[in-house]
Amino acid sequence: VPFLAALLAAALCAGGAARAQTSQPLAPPTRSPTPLSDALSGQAKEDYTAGRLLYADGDFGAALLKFLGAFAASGDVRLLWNAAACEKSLRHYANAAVFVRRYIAAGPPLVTDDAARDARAFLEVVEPLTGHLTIAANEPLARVYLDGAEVGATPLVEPLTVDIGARHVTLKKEGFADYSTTVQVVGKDQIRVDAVLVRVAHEGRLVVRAARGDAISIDGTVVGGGDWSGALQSGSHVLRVTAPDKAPYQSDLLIVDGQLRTVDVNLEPLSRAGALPTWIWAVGGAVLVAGAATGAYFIFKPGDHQPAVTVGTISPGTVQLPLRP
Amino acid sequence: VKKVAKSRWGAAFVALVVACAGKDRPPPGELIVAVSTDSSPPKDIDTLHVQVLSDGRIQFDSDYELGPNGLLLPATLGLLAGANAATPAVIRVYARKGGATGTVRVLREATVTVPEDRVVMFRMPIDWLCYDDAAVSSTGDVTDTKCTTPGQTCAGGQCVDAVVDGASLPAFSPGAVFGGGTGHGDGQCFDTVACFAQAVPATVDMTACTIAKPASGPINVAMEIETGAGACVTPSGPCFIALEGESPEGWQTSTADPTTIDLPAAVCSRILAGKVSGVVTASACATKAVTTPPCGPGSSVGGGEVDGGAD
Repeated sequence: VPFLAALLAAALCAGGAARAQTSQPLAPPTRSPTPLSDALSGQAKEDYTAGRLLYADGDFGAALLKFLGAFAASGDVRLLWNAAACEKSLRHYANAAVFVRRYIAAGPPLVTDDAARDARAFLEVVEPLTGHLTIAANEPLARVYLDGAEVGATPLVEPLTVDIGARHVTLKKEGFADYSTTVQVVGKDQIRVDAVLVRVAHEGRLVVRAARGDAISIDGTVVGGGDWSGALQSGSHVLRVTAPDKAPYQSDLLIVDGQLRTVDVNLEPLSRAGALPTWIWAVGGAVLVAGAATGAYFIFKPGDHQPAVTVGTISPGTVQLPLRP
Repeated sequence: VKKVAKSRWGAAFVALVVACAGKDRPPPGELIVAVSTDSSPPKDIDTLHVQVLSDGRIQFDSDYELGPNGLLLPATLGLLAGANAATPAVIRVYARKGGATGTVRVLREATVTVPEDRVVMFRMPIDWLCYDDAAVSSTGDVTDTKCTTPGQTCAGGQCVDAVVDGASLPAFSPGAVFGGGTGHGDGQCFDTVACFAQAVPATVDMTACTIAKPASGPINVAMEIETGAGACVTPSGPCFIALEGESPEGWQTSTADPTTIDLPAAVCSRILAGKVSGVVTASACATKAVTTPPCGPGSSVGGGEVDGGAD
């Protein structure tokens, strides 16, 4: 690494950016007839001047912002060389390479042949310090994050140039679970990440424990008999358990994401279902003796009574037509 | 005095119970589908498929083995009214021979609404006269090959309207389905073999598809089935399928000539096709009614007669 760093420094020096390594003002490696300081004006010139001061002070992150601000205001590609110098100082070699490539691509008159040659020498130096990361996904329009920064959305048109070391890749899309992985970039390598985004299932599990032969239906559809368990979409469902000659059981259930709900059903024979259990008579009698008529109301609370339905001989006896319009 | 006091407490308690119980929600509206057959399961058909669709979705879909070890016919299934009484349910019942993947013999369909506040009965007979008019399409769907007009289904060998207003249906009574019984082996079935043991061949007017009405006695009319379906006296025949008396899907006294009996047109077409060898009449037992299903090993009503036929 010290060897590569020396090479990188040499390349930047050769490109005329040597002053960027010192407290001296930055200057691009071009032999532009008009120096940047003279070519810029207004906000662009203010940002450029501030960038140089910040760079000289070693605040490369802030200097980068200023140079990019000046570039946005002026469009002078020579400012990308300064931005590359900042990224290099931050050891963001991949970002530096991106800026330098854009700088080279601009060509004359702002980027002379000599300046372009120097810039290409820089790229050769940083090449071992970067790798190329291709990211593909099974879903389009998933936002792609590299080390926490959004770099685009799938499908990405070209590989990303990334710094060596551990790179953290995350893909996000609404309705799908986030995909994250960490790849080790050694340098000069081509790495591919094939992300598989899995749709988030808004569902919970229901376990129904009934007697053997009892028919279990969920939302009007028979799903099984006896014991049944399965995944259900989160929300409200109607559980119904029926068997010939037995009073059917019906209940509204709320299924919550990721939660297990267990329902034990013990169907009563029809002949007994209509009759009142002995304990009710006993308690009811005591209540009467006490003169507490209101207590009796709660014993026979109307909401607890299951309306009788006619159960057919074809299992499960009844089919509930859709309860939701 | 003690007795009177005790009875007063009891009366008070009962009154309270009645008052509270009176606040129960009323039972939901329900349509009881009654599936029956005039043939002899499991000899003629051994698998029943019942499908209920509503709101564009399959609400119920199931196969049943027919016979002494499985589902006995007639059989009933209750459709509980949904949120919207105007939303119809489509009921498809078809029977196979050869198990769940065997040959589809017959299909019956109906599109019905379920009343919100009544328990009504809807009959879906699996008529032998509709046999072999169903097939499995290339997509795996069971379709009617005879009644291809949308909204029609086969009943008594004829294509009839399959759309039924649930409000027009009669109240459900188990006895009307199970020969006066409850569907658990009780009730009175129609003993085809016994009734037609002394049957008299009838001359069929093939033009009008009529026979002369017997002058006296309870009248029963049956088809003698060439293919061995129905109730067979011996394994080698003869085999009979009784027609319901004074029924649109059976025989009816002719309104034009009360001395003749109108037969379903499909009886005559099946005579021409060689599937029915003749029509017989008998007076040995009460007229076969829709409420009295045939006896047999696959019957849910009464005992079963010896049935050695083969289809």
